[in-house]
Amino acid sequence: MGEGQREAQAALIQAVRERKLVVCVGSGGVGKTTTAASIGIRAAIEGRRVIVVTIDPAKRLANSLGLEALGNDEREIDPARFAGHGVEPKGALFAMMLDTRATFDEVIRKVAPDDETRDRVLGNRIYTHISDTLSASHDYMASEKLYDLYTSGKYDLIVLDTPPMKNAIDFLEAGGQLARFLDDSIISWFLQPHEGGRRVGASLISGTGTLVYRLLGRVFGNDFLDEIAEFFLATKDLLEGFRERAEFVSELLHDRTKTRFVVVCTPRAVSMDEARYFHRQLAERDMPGGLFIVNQAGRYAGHAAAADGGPGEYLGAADRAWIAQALGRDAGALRSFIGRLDQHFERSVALDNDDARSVEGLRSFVGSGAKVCVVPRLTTEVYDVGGLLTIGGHVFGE
Amino acid sequence: MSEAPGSAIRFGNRRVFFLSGKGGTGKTAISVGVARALARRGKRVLIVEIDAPRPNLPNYFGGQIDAQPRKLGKRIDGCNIDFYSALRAYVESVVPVKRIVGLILKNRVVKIFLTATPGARELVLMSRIWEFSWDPRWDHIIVDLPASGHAMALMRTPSLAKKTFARGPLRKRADEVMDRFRDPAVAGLFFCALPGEMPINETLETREQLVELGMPSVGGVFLNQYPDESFSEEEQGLLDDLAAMDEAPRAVDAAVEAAIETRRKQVIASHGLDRLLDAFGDGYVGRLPVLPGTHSQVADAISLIITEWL
Repeated sequence: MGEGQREAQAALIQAVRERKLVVCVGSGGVGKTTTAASIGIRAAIEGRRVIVVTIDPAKRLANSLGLEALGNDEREIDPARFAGHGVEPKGALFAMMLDTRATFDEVIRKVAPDDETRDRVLGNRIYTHISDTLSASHDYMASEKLYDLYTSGKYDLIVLDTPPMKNAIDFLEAGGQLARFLDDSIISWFLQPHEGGRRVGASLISGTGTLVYRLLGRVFGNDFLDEIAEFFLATKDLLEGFRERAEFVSELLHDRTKTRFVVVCTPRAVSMDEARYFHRQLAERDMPGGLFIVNQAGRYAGHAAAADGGPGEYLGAADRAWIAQALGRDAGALRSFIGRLDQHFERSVALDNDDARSVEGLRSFVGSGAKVCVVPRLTTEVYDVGGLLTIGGHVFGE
Repeated sequence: MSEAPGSAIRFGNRRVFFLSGKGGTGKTAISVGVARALARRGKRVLIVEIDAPRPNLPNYFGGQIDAQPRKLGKRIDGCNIDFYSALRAYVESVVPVKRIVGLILKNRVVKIFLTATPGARELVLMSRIWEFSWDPRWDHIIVDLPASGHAMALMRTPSLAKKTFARGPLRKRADEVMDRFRDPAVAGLFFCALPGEMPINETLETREQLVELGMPSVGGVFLNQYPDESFSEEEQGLLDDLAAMDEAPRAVDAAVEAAIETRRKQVIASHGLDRLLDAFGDGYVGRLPVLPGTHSQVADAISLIITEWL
């Protein structure tokens, strides 16, 4: 640790002081939301107006911040929550949970040129489908919300918690996907002038479109195609707004002076693999990455077996004698207890050595250009301001 | 089995095991463990990953996997189905003429249309698993579901498709998928959870959503990395005594701290176990211990435990 740890902490401090956007990415269950929250708290302490946008906060975490009903609206965390923890934020901390459906509806209301278009889109069954089921729609909406918050000028810093790994990549690509999804040529294909009694799109009677359309109908059903065509017709007018916003967000995500990505992981093999993968994804996209937080790292790595013990024993003769004396008992009577204690510790060390090896593996993988901050496993679950501050202490150094 | 509550899952004779859980819950290790356990009992097993940008199975078996099932080990095959391979399989099942299948799949409009069409992706992937479930080459299909909320989106798609499409081939397939996977004799969804309070909350919430969906039936829950119960009450008292003492040798200090940390986790874990038992019922909750080692070693250790449950 040592030097590398301090460099990483310095980079993290710089990010909360100077950047406009910090994006936390990583696989599920690695403490991403908790990390995002502790980054938010630190930024508020540093005097910034900061909002933490989370995807799926654990209820207790939200509750402990006084956010009983964390929803799609921005809520300020009561500064009184920090009282008793020895900190006094000079700035202000806000939080919100991203509600895909609500955000989508808001966007439609905002960009619809008239009430009729708005109602047609909101009432379309495909639209309902999209906002509820399409996993990518979550990413479009994260990007939309980001645009709103950023351009509102209300905050100095946005800390964005993202969905687990695979989706986080979709999120980065959401702008491109959106553009493809709304590709004009596709839409015009569906919206060619229709003949006969059928609805829009269902009547491409001429040209190559006919065959394709008939085949599509055969494979996917005509009703379905009709719905799609209607959806495209309804959303046609919303295209330009969507596209502009997506491009704006994409630029922001690439801007090294404004944005910093933090890859959050644990020392477990699966999480490390995904962290490496994500690191490469960021590098390929030329996005400001190279900063890692490794949560839940083991604390007993590197303990050696006792010099004066049996093979593989961590508690040597002197340790055992000390225990017996300390407890005021006969060593023989304590034999099985000490044996279990020793065995348990041996396993703890083995598990934590695995952790330490994977952290070292990560350091050598990312090389000298990247920074890795290690946060040791805490003994209790984190669900209040005190716990978040403890984590912050490790993330930013004292 | 006359052991403590939560010590085994009764699997029944299901063909299809859906495994769901957040990242880090050991979902893939458990998937491989279940597969190896079944293979040990002479069953032929296919493990399916879904659209994984970086499939996990090679970590356990070496080599590579792709969309077509290939042999990974004795009686174990594996694949990573992606949208296009699943789409090809779906179109082939609806259009018997090869040339037309090619025409449909190559068409740019079709491609973009389907990539972006809500629910199409999920339904087509579910349809592929449904096809596997009829394939006589395997006795069991183990589906290692994606780690995120995407898993629930997959499960929700057939029932949503039923609402959206009054008729047509997609509707028909959605019905077929639902009918097959809602049958507890055929398929079940198994959760992989860690014993912390928040992971248990999430598991219980997802379970309720699943019950509401009715598909697939709830199979049970693997409670992974359950801390050992290695200290008696009297010994726990001794640990407290030792922890209160100053100037312990370094090894004693660390060993006592580690033991007390484990005990603290045990208290949380046993509370979590009780909550899972309340919701799932005894016989549907199976504890797995904390296991060190490589991917494959962990999966092997898990498979030995699960073999006892079969």
